[in-house]
Formats: sequence, C-alpha cells, structure tokens
Amino acid sequence: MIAFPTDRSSSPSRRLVISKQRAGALLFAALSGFFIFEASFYPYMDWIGPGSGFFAMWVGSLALVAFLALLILDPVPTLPTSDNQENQASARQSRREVVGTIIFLIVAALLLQPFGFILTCGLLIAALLRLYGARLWVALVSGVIAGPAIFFIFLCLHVRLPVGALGI
Amino acid sequence: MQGFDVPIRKAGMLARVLVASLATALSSAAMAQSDYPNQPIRLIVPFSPGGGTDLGARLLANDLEQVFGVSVVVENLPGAGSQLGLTELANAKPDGYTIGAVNQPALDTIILSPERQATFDIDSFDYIINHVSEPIIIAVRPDSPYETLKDLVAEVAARPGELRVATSGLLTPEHLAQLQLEQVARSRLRIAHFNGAAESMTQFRAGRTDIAFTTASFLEGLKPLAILSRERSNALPDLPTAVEQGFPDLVMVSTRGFAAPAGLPEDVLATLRDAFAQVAQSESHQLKAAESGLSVEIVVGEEYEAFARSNFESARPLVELAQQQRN
Amino acid sequence: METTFAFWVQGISDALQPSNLLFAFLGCVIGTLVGVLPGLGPAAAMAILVPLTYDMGPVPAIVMLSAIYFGTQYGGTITSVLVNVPGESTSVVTCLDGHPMAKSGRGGAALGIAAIGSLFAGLTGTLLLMILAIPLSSLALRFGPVEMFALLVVGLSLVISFRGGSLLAAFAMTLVGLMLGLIGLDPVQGAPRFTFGITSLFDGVQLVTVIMGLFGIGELLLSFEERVPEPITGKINSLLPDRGERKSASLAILRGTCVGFGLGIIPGMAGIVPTFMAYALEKRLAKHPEKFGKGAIEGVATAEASNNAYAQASMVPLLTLGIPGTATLAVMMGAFMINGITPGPFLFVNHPETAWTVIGSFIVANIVLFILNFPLVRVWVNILLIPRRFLQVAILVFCIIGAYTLRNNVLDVLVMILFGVLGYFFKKIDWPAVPLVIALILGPLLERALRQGLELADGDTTVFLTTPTSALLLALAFLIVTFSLFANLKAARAARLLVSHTADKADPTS
Repeated sequence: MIAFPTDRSSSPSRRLVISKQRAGALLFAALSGFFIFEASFYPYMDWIGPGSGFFAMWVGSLALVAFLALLILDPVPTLPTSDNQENQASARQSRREVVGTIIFLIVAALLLQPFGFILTCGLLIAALLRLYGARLWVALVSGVIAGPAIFFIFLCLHVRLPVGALGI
Repeated sequence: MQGFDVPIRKAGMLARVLVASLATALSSAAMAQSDYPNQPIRLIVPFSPGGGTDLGARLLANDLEQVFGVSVVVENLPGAGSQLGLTELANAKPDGYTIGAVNQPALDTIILSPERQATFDIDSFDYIINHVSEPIIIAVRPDSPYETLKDLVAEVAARPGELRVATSGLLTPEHLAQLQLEQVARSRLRIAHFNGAAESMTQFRAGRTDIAFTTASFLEGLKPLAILSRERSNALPDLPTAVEQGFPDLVMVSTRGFAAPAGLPEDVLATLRDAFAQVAQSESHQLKAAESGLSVEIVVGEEYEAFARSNFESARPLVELAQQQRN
Repeated sequence: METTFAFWVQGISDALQPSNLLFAFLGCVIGTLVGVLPGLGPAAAMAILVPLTYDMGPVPAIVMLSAIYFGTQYGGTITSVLVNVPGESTSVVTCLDGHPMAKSGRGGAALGIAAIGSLFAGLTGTLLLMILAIPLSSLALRFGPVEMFALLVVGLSLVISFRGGSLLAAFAMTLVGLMLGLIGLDPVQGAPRFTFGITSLFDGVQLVTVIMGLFGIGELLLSFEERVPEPITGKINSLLPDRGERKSASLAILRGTCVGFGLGIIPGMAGIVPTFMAYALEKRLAKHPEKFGKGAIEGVATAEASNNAYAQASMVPLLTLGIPGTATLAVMMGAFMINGITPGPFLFVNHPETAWTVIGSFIVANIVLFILNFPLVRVWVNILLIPRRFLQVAILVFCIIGAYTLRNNVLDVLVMILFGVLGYFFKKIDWPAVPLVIALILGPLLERALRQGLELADGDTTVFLTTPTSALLLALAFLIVTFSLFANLKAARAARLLVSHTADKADPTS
C-alpha cells in the first residue's frame, strides 16, 4: 500500500498532490508495461503494412516512457482549485460520500438486469440520498416514487428499461 | 434513529410484496406452456436503431402484434457486428418469447472466425423465416471499357494486384464476393475496407476504386455488369447473373431472416413460422417494405433452415481464404 | 443559377408555412428535452420518433426532425454547462469553460452566448450550405483515406501541444487515449485486441460512457470535497457577455463558425475534431489564454459556434454522398429515406426541390430554436436551484440510464463508473482529460485511414508523401509540434529563471 505522507510541516496540500501524482504515474506506467506485454502477442507487421501490434507497441512504449518520466521528474503541478479542508471530520465525510457513491453505483449496475430497473433505481436513489444526509423517510419515499416514475417516462418514450426477474 | 417497529413493519410489507411477485412469476411460467403466445415477445435486433434490419424488424413486429394479440417488443442489442445480439439470442430460453433477427453472411463469418470466440454456431438456432435478400451486384463506371463480366474477369486476371476495390467492412458480402472473384480470375485485387456501404461507394465515385461491389440501392449512374444471385432479380430483369455469364462460382446474396434459440417446442415453432409467413406475405407489408427499399424474398420454415445452412457452407471456404491471405 | 435561387425561395417558403412552423416548435421542444436527459441519446430518440413522422408527409417530417436534431444539440449544451455532463461528444469542449462559468454564477451568460453563437453559426452555415453544397460535394469527394490520415495527424499534433498545465501530462494522457482506442477488433484482420475475452469490448470502449464518466461523474465526485460556502443562485446578471468580452466573443463565434464549417464538410469527420480545433485556435489567439478552462466566455462561444457550423456542414456529405458523420446523422438519413428522400449524388439532380426544402427547414429550425431557448435560459439555470443532493442523485441516475440504454449492456455502465473514478483522480492530480478523449476518437480513425490508404496503394507507404494535400498536412503537423515544443522549452526556461530570481530575492545572503 502506498502511504501518503502526513507530515504537516511543509505545505501539506502540495506534498499530498505530488505524491498522488507519483502514485498515478506508477499505476499507469505499470498499465503501459502490461499493455506492451499484451501487444507483443499481436503481429507487428502485415503483408501490406503495420499489423495489429504495430501501433500498440509504439503507443505502449511511448506511454511507458512518459509515465516513468512523470514518476521521476514529478513536475510541479498547478495547485488544484479546491483547498484542503481544515476540518478533519468533513474530510472524512466527503471521502465517505465519494467511496459510498462509487460502491453504490457499481452495485446498482450489477443489479440492473437481475433486479430490474424500478427496484434497482429505487434502491440506488434511497441509498444515495441516505448517504448524502437526507432523512430516512425522505430517501425511501424518493426511491419508491422516482423508480416507477422514471420507468414510466422512458416507457412513453419507447425506451425499455430492464425488467427484472420479479416482473417489475 | 426511528423506532424499531418501523423497520419491522417495513420488512413485513416487503416480504408480502416478494411472495406476491413470486406467486405471479410462478403462475405465469405455468401459463406460458398452455397457450402460446400469452406474454410479450422479445424481438432482438443485433443492430442499432434506424438501420435496414431494424426497419424491417419493426415493420414486421407491428403487424405481428395484430396477429398474436400480444406486444412484440424490439430490443436493439448492437455490437461486434451482431455478435452480441446473436449471443444473447442463442442463450435465451427456447420458449418462444425471445426471437431475433439473423443476418447472413454475418452469422456465418462470426461462427467461422476462430478469433471471434463465438459461443454459438449454426445449430444454435431454430430458423423461422427469411425476410429480405440482397444480392451483390458488380458494376463499373458508365465510361469504362468493360462491357461484360468476362471482360472484367480477364482484366483482373491480366493485372494482378492493380485493380482496387472497397468493401463496407471485413468479411462483409462485398468482401466475400471479391474473394470469389480473385479465385475465379486466379489473381489478386487491392481490397480496402471501409465503414459502411456509403463510404465504400464514395471511394468508387471519387475514382479511388475501379470496380464497385454493391447492392441495388446504390446503382444509380453506374453500369452494372452482373448480379450475383442464382436467378435474375425481378427488380432488375435485364441484368444477367454471373452464373448465366459462365461463372457459377460467383454467387453472393446477403440475407436477413428471423430465428429463435434452438430447442423450441414443435407447436411454438410452427405457430411462429405461420404467423411470420402470414404477415410477411401480406400485401400491405410488401407495399410498406418496397417503399422502405427492402427487397423482400420470403423463404419459410424448413426451407429457410436448409437455405441458411447452405449459405453457411458456402461461406466457409471464403472465410478460410480471407484468413489465409492475412497470414 | 436562377432556377437554384427559385428553389431556395421555394424551399424557405415551404418551410415557413404555419403548420410546418408548428412542427418546428414541437421538434425544438422535444429535441431540447431529449438533449437534456442524458438517458436518451439523440440517435435513439430520433429512431423512435421517425416512424411517427411517417404519416406526416415529407416536408413537415423533415422540418420536425431537423428541429429535433438541433434541439438535442442545444439540450446537450445545457447539461454541459449546468452539470458538466456532455450530451454528445461535441459538447465536451463546451464543458471546459461552460461549467466553470456556471459555477461562478455566470451560467446564464454561458447559455446565452451558446444560443447566440449557435444561431449565428447555424444561419451562416445554412447559407454557405445553400451556396456551396454542390461544388463542396465534389471537393469532399476528393478527400480520401490518405488525406484523412494526414488531417488526423494534424489533429493529434494539436492535441499533444494543447497547453493546459504540464505538457508531459498532456502527452501522457494522449497516449492513454490512444491505448484505449486500440481496444477492440482491429481494422487490419478483425481480430480482438486487449479484450481479454469480453465480447462487449469488441467494439472498443464506448465514447459516450467515457465522456459521461470522466466529465459528469468525475466532476460530481470532486464536488463532494468542495465545501460550497455560498449556494449557486439562480439569479442571473445577464444573458449577454460583459461589455469587455463582447468583441472577443464575437470574433470567437466567427472563427468557430469557419473552422466548424470548413472541417465539417469532410465526409466521416467526427464532430469533436473541428470543435476542439476551434477551441485550440481560440486559446492560441487569446490575450489571456490562461483563462481558458476556468470560465472564458470565448471558449464557450467558439465551441458552440463550431459545433453548430459542423452540424450544418455535415449535411453536405450526408445529402450529397449519403455518408453520415455521426450516429445521429445516420438516423436522420434513415428518416430522409423513409420519407422518400434518398441522399446521394443524385439528390440535387433528381429532386432539387426536396433538397432545398430540407435546407430551408434548417434555417427555420435554427431560428425557432433560438426564439424558444434564449428566453428559457433563465428557466434552465434554475435547475441549479434544486437542492444539491437531489440534483446529484438525479445526475447519477440519468448517467446510469444513459450508459445502459446505449447498447442495453451493463458493461457500458461499469466502464462509465470506472472512468468516473479516473476522472476524479485525474482532476485531483491535475492531469488533463481532454487529450485523452480526443486521442480516443482520433486514434482508431487514424489507424483505419492509414490501413485503407495502404490497402489502396498496395503497401506503398510513399503515397502519403506524394499526394499533395497529405504532404502539406503532414508538414503542418510537424510544424505545430516543433513550434509548440520550442515554445514550451522557452517557457520552462523562463519559469526556471523566475524561480531562481525570486529565490535570490528571498534569501539575499545566498
């Protein structure tokens, strides 16, 4: 696991951003390397010109070089527009919202076909609203109303959203 | 936050809803056997909305609804040159409530190309009916010196690797026809692949290709030399076939039909075949199809199954040829 | 020439009949709504509405369909500006400055200049279309795969030299976009590349999902961290640009129109290329290029003008050659054909009155759209008044619907979410997403054009240098890259000097 420095003495937000950039560069350098590896299995040249592997090799190699450069050189990026939060609690809260949103979205995507749109949408809306701090009854009511409503609107537009195993 | 009783009441309600839905689902499954069709039918079209196959399917679906008394819902599942939609069709339950549009040679080339890793093959479907047939036509510019197909073939034979042609994509009917021509002339063409018929015809009109392999809708202003069907077309009675001009190996017709996943109960399949035949052969449908530019050629039931299989077999050597050439 | 003029007059007057005007209004409303709902792509919407127009007769049907088409473009602009979710790929560039403007309370001005720019570009484009359609079509014919390849190289060179922060990061992101574009069946043999057995990836990563993820969801995730102290008010100061901006905004619209139209007539040209090029051009010519990306009204103006000019210009290859440049245009073509209008080289020869009526309907649609939407901007901006949490949930739900209904495929939704996470990450480390998107579009086109050129030339690579247009464009690309490389090195050196100077000043004892 890559640990981000928590040293606060020297310009905390700048240090953090630089480290995240290094992490990103490392990740993408690794992806580029994997890309090159896969590309090596594709024919490089064809009887007429570049084969399927030609561009893949070149692009992957250049990408690897670029990301390694980013990793090593680590140019000073322009500061992000959002300043770091003073409040640790609110930082935790926003991270919770980000992570929660991502997880709920993934789950919803996976449930879309087996559960059907109405149920999935209702659950998603309720879960998201609850995550963002709405009251429980507000979240549930919104989910129950919005799900069928949206399904109906799109049905009128002849777009069939998925119907799940339970028939809704 | 709230009292404990609220969640419990909610759980009870939820349970009741679940049981009710389960009961409905089970009873409808039982009903499905007795009286076909009594549920909406899913018509999978493995192409994007607005295209030729989609158009034809929607026309038929509308009329089928009248015949069946249930709704026939067109579902577009485009992707991978119809492979995604066909996969879904092949994997669906063979209960007659999922049917789909099946195009050849697309179906054939997908099955026959090993790198496509198709999870279905020609036996995965029960064939209902063929709807549209579009033979490939070989044409040249009006001012070109070729008057007959023989002239053209001789030219191709005399100039290997010089004459240029375009296709609407890899392993499309035009491509396969071009491979046939190469075989017949024992020569080589420069084959370039484009995205769709309009793009490939533009190359021809711009003079970047020498011979046009196309369908009837793009013939305006061109000099057609041969049609690659077994018999002359009613729409173009003066256009001789390649077969009658002495080239029995130049046959290429793309077909659009309908099929269901293999394993359908006999009576369901028969019902579907009859219904489709009834609708497709009706005058009103033929009229609408003609207006939309679809060249209808009905082949029903077992005849269509045999037809589809023979198309598949004819495509096999060509696909192998295409792959050889690449390596 | 007189007969053509007579046709023009006839075409416009046909389109202006009251019943047709009604259809135009209806079409604009439907189109805008469709564009605003990310869940309903314009292509799918038009495909559904096309059979309905079947019974109307060709002229009203075409008028309504054109109105729907332009309406969806503007609807996409609305969502781009207000919530950073691009409606179509061409709306991506509008997001860059439109959304920052909305965030700083200038959403009304952004939508206003978008409407004005679109109107100007639409009318100018249609006028040019009327005058130049026939001669342009023969010009468009001469642009083959070899020339296209060279043009795409120019496009790529502009992307690489797009200065938005670190040049190295932009370069790296371009390469990521190119790598993503390589996923799918290759144009050489039709064999799958980088798909790992997932058949849904055979057509590559779907552009719409990438865009919705990177821009829409990415921005949304980022907004959780921004503690917005003051709520974005619905109060709009003005729908027009400020006095100081008027001149530069007008010039931006003019330049955008030219670039959009000029490149739009090329058959098969993807909409984002001219839009992005116009933006890059505008940024280069601006007095304060650093404002671009943070709310420069010229950015919105040029993006909107160029994509509407492109929309008009793309009708040239559509009507005269039957080649649609985007999926929406493909559906429009289907709509034409159902109504008995067969686009192609013989349209203007055999059915001139129909062709000119179609073009006349564009004028009507553009004007009606402006009349309808300009006053409504205040209404649209009120979307921002919806309580933030509800708005965010709504955006997420509609994005999911949009991604799913693309191909009725769950993988597209998952890809969108993935790019949402990536978009969030990229924003945090200040890596630009635009080069990625453009490279994703240009890469496959480039590879295909190269392949086609080689196939037609039987493997002779020199064809790219011996064809005059191609050679010229390649030279241009080379110049662009070299020039921007020098400019960047100079800037880096200057920055280093500045830093060392300030360091000296700060510590006089060193």
